[in-house]
Amino acid sequence: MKLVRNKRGEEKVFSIWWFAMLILVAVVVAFVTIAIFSTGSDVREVESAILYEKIASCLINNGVLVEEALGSDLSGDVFSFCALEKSLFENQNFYYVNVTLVKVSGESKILVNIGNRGHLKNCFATQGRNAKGYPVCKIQKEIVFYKEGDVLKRGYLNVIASSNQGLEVVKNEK
Amino acid sequence: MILKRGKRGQEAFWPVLIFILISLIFFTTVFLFVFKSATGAVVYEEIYAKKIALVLDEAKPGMAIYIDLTKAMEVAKKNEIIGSEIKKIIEIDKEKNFVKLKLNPDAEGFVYYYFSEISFDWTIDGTKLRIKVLK
Repeated sequence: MKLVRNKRGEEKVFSIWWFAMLILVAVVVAFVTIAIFSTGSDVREVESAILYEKIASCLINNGVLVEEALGSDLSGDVFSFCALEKSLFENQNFYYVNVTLVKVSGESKILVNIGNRGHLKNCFATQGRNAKGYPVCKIQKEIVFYKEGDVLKRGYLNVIASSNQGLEVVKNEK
Repeated sequence: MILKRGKRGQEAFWPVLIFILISLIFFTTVFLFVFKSATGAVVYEEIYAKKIALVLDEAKPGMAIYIDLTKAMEVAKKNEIIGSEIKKIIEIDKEKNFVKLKLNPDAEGFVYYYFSEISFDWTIDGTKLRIKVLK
């Protein structure tokens, strides 16, 4: 094969490749810019941490479980006791809170289960990973003393708080 | 010193100049596009709406909170929201529990919900948003 060049061997300043490169650069820059700025800032981790703190500090006072928040038959209004907007938890699918008391005997009892229950399985499925479209959860155990009769016993509260605001994928399963 | 230029030298001058000019125009356009995207109303609407909603989530009774809105005001003014209209860039719906930021009169604005059930008053004081949490 022979490469054909002009006699002077001069470099062409403009060529179809140069224009193609410009277009390619423009397309890549536009694509990356739109991709970065259309996703927005994700604050769900902070939001679920705040929700966790709010629930934990409301239900635990000096290490003791606050029974008034729940009522003896768990019919207490945790929304008003912990200053949470009830309508938002019931009508929107953004948030979920689950509080389970695990007793010394190993027996566990769900104390609070509000919001989008669909988050629960996703919280465990995506634990420690950043899964796109799934809720961001804060799962933590808190050591707590609870009353059984007149005796204070030591157990722990398993608290799950999650947020998926802005990235609604999981449907509400009530 | 006499600079001698031949025909070939003159021939090479114009294409190089045009090449430099086109490159300059191209890279300036790309830079402006990225800059506009990064400092546009959409970005600031989202940042401020989320910031205010998170502050309300964390707020405790008795707190007085100030949030600097200088950047939001600048963007709003750039989009010709001026005079008394500047106070309407923020909407806080206490019934539905959301914060809405609208820095572009032609856009929908950005909405973010807060989950706390709190009672508060808010005003825009110069370039600051002042929130007084009652209970």
